[in-house]
Amino acid sequence: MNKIRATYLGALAVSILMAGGESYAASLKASPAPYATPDKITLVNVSKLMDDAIPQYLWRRLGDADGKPLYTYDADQAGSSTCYNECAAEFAPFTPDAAAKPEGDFAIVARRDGVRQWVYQGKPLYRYSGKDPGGEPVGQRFQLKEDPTWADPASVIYSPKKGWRRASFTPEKSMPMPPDVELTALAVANGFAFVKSSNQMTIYAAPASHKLPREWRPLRASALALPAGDFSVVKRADDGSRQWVYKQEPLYTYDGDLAPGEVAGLLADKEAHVALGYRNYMPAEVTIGHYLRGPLLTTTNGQTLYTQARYQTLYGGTETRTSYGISYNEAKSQGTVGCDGECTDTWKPLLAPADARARGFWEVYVRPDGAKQWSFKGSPLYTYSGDAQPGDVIGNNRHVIVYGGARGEIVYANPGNDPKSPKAQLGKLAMADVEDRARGGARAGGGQANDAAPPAGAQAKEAAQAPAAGAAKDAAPANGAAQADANRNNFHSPGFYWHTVVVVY
Amino acid sequence: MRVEFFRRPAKAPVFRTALVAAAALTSALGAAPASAETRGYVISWFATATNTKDFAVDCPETAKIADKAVAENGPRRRDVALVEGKPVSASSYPAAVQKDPAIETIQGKYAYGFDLGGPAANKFIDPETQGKADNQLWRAVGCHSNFARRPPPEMPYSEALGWSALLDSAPGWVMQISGADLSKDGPVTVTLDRTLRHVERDAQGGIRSNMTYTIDPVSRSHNVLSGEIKEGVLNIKSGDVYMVSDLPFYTQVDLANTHMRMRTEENGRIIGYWGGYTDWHAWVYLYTARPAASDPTGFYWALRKLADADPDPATGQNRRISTTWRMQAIPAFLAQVDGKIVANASQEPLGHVERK
Repeated sequence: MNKIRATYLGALAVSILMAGGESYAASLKASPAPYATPDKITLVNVSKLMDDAIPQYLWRRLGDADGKPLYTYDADQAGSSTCYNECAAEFAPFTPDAAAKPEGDFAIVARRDGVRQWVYQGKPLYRYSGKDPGGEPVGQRFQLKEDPTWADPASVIYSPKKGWRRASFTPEKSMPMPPDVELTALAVANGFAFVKSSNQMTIYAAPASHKLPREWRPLRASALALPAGDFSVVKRADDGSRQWVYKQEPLYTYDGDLAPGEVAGLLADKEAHVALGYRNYMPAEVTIGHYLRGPLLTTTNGQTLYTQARYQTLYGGTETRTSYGISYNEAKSQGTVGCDGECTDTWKPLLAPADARARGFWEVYVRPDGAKQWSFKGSPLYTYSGDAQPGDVIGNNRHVIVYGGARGEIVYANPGNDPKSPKAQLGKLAMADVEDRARGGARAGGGQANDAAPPAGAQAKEAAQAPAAGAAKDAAPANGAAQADANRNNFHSPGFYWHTVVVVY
Repeated sequence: MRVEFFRRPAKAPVFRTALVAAAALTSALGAAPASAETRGYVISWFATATNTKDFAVDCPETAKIADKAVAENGPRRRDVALVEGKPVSASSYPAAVQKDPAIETIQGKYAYGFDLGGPAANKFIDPETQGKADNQLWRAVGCHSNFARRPPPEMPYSEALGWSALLDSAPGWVMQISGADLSKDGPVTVTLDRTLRHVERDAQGGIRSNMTYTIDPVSRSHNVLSGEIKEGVLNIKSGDVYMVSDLPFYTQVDLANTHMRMRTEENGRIIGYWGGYTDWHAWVYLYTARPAASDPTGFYWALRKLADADPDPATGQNRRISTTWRMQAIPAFLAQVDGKIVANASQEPLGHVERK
């Protein structure tokens, strides 16, 4: 784990707890920034999958309420669709609800055929009627060079047809900003925040009438700086210097932030808030709390929220704050299958109200019993009955170990219990639910267009690296290739893993 | 010396949820029972206790072919696992492997460990104490090159990889030893806990002594054991231990009928052995989760055959196996979340040691 970040998190926890921390949650809800997306439009982080490493973020796309990809058509110009008839049968216009209204970069246009259609940054949005490509490139082990197609929404990894590309979320394209300011995703501030381009440090805003102490550094504007969008320049009364202002609130950086991505300033002053270009939607019953071990996604009464994923070997530790990540497709492919039945006696689904709607990073799962459950970045969320007080993370880091027998039955299961915690039950689970049999498995969006088997050399290399197994008798394989394929389990090991929700990035 | 201060919010609501052992959890603030002296340590080295000083005796078959296999990169055993006639992953379905891999098991008579009361026929002799030792786990896996011929300070291969990653990323394990006067022999209390952050390294990549760690106040890894220091060796002969760990190391360290012996070396470092019965399914998960460079199905089948405790009432299959860990710990200051130091780092030896 990054040592600076570790130091920060320790210091942050101190300052947060000393200051009470409640103001942080309040500031999240009170941010005046607009939401990043309208109702029923989701955001999905596109990641590159790696052997033994966490998925690596590549870019961000738009999705419908179920997270399915939205597309734009290169031939469309200036907010006007050119896709009709057969084209529209293949790529259906993405239509808003009757009550939907334009928001920010999201406009609604009336097509020639009378259908209303969402438009993002001037590009009409569509859904593909066929099977969406897998959408998550797979990096090969020891691969040193990035494949440029991974970052190209028009590549075959993401697009089913030439001329079409997955709609990417690019708020920075339409946001006028001063030269030394850029927009970046900042999950711990629950939004897309302005940061200094030169050092990526968080920028804060505070009411003009509020005096901040010396450790708050005004974001200086040069003598020749000109207003940009909602950014303007004021002359400070104390020393006559020029300072940037966003939506009438002066901007600052905070000396207590030690590294990019830190928001210690939120807890140092109740009036200051992170200067957000857009905020992320967050259900009313959810917040970000700060406790002994840093920021946690919690319910509003402080219960830690957890996700469960199929276990994947990661070097670097699943307990680091930044080193545990689940790709969106992986999360969707698993859904709620890992915890059903008696499992929910201990791991309680974070239920969503009947009228809950997907938005931003939040979607709504329908559980097998019909109940609605919130998911964040594809992962359904749960609380743990063993957590007694706000800040407890007793449910964290639990391995659900499951082994199968000769009839496909479960012959051993440990739901991640320990002697001191409530005894969880496995619930309704079959080996087919545990094991992602084919590499790539049943990932959301169908098969992986780019999910090729590893090169033949990789298997031989792995065999060469294995220490000698001793005087074992050779077993004649019944079907060598099929067995090899079945054994190739680089991505998933048997079982699941419970973890707190990462909100550091 | 670095101290981290934490304080819980003043009016923390308590959830209206029925909890098992909630009182035990919330009262486990990490403090050892009140004593005249408490010393603190952080676990700096932890691995399966290996002993293959005479490999040809311990593993005669493997000893004959080992060099040849490495030199020729010879054929690897491929286990066939079938469910309803279809190949399945041998790591996920080790019990469905069609043929017992029948890996060679330890034939020699020496292994580190403790007399846990297991069958006489299974006993080893502990090379350090010459006492009887139950260590069926070592018998099962000791011939595999992952474990064989790797004397300390070297760790078994997969454990070394995992431990190194664990140290830098996961909370550390700490130990308090409390007694009336730890410079003399006598009864002591040993308290194990987890910290709130990872351990600190020194400039050479080892673990740095005399750092301060905050004990996680609500820890599943809180264990209190009674022991005795006699002639400079701390012995524990009963109790259960559960320590949360993480892949790519083991998911947990759990011992029933725990036995420990530990002694201090130079600069206050503790070296010792912890033994007991462990859940072998959970133990082998390190290898089924990361099959490369090990033999998960070979281990699984050998452990299943040699497991020697806690029979499943339904099947009769033993669920636990005797095992021994080797450990090292170095002095550390230990603090509660309110900043109070509850254990001091000390370079002094434990108990009465004859000085030559």
